[in-house]
Amino acid sequence: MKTIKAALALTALVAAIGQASAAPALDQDSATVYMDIGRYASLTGLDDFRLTTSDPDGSAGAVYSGSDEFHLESNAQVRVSLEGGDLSNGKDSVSTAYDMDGSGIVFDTAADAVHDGKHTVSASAKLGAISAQKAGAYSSKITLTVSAL
Amino acid sequence: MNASHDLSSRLARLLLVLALVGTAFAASLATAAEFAVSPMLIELDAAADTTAPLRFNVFGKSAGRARIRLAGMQQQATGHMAFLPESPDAGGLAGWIRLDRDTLVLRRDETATVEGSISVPRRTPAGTYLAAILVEEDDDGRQAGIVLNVRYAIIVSLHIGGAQSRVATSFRELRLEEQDERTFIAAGFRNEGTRDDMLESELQLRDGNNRLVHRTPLKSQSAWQRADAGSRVFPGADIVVFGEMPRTLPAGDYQVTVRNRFGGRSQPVQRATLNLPAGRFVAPASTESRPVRIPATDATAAIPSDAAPAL
Repeated sequence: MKTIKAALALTALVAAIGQASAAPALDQDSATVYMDIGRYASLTGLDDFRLTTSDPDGSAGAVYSGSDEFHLESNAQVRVSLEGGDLSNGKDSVSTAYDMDGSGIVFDTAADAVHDGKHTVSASAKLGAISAQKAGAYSSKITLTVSAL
Repeated sequence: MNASHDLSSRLARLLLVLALVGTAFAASLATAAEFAVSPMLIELDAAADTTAPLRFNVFGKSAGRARIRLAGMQQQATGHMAFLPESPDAGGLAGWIRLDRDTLVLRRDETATVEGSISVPRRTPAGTYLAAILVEEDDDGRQAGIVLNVRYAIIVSLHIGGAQSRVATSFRELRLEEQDERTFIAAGFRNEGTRDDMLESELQLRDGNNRLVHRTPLKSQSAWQRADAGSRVFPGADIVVFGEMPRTLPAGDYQVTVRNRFGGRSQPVQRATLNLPAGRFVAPASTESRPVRIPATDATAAIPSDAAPAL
């Protein structure tokens, strides 16, 4: 009986050693996981806005201005560029200037970095002579283009 | 009973007025529908006479209708890319792309996938080809004050493999320009090859004793803005590169040397003699470091191009 018990114990020990020595071989299998995250950007919070003036409304040389804030978030460097035309009522037009963050119509987020921040788009228009433009509603469309180049 | 009726009537009128005011306000200052797209850059490798699939997602951050258009792309003198949606160059990449739809109606938080393909014509030369897919709100003609529209430009960059044409560039019209009391040295650079690459350009200025008095990289406005080490120049593009001159320099003759590397390959060294008249370089009050816009023309002290021969 003792012999049988000893034999069983020896067998179990050999099996355990065998498993232990085999285990590292299994652990040596490996896999590399790859992931490629595409460039993504989101520009939100823009609303149409009106230009107002502190000068006498409609007077020669009156300056009208207005702005709106937007939020830009990206996971890579992106460029935002602005295109816009003069304010017009369909017949008369008023010279209109635009900028973003007070420094031109194009800006880039930092190279090789994510971005999460608020920006401002502004417009200003200056009237000519009193009779140079008819009173009434004027409008203009501006487009902000977000691109990866 | 009458008092109760009067109260109900007044409340109804008040609600009506509030509704009208709200509607008028919403109509006068509309909010742009909000989208996002992914990916913003699609880079593909293909061969002539093959078709490659492409796809992108449009995510509705608010409910709205999006319009999808193809556009050709053209690099401007400043190094920025211009999108040409009105003439999506039929002979170029924009003309090879087909999309399965040109409008999308999205609910808030809904994502739509747009599928498409690029059919590369036979005998298309090796090189880099660019186009843009413009995704923007179909705004239905909102007209009040300043109407804002957000457009996402998905850049499609197609690389056609095969025997590459050799790198070919030209460098010309080295000149001085003054803006906002600062002086810049600028020149034109053209990529005459068929693939885009990075231009690394450095200018050295030596005085009459051959002493190095100044060195500066020359980069496009786009590269300065992006803080890139060099300027990316696309096939066929003419860009202006520039760097700032020292604020003070004694009058006299200076030797200008410009070394260009394009796509990692050295280009012909450019040399010129620059005469600075007395009083030209006076330290200005401005200390702003941001580069200013350099126009492509209107040189104030052009150095004739024949004075800067390639060696």
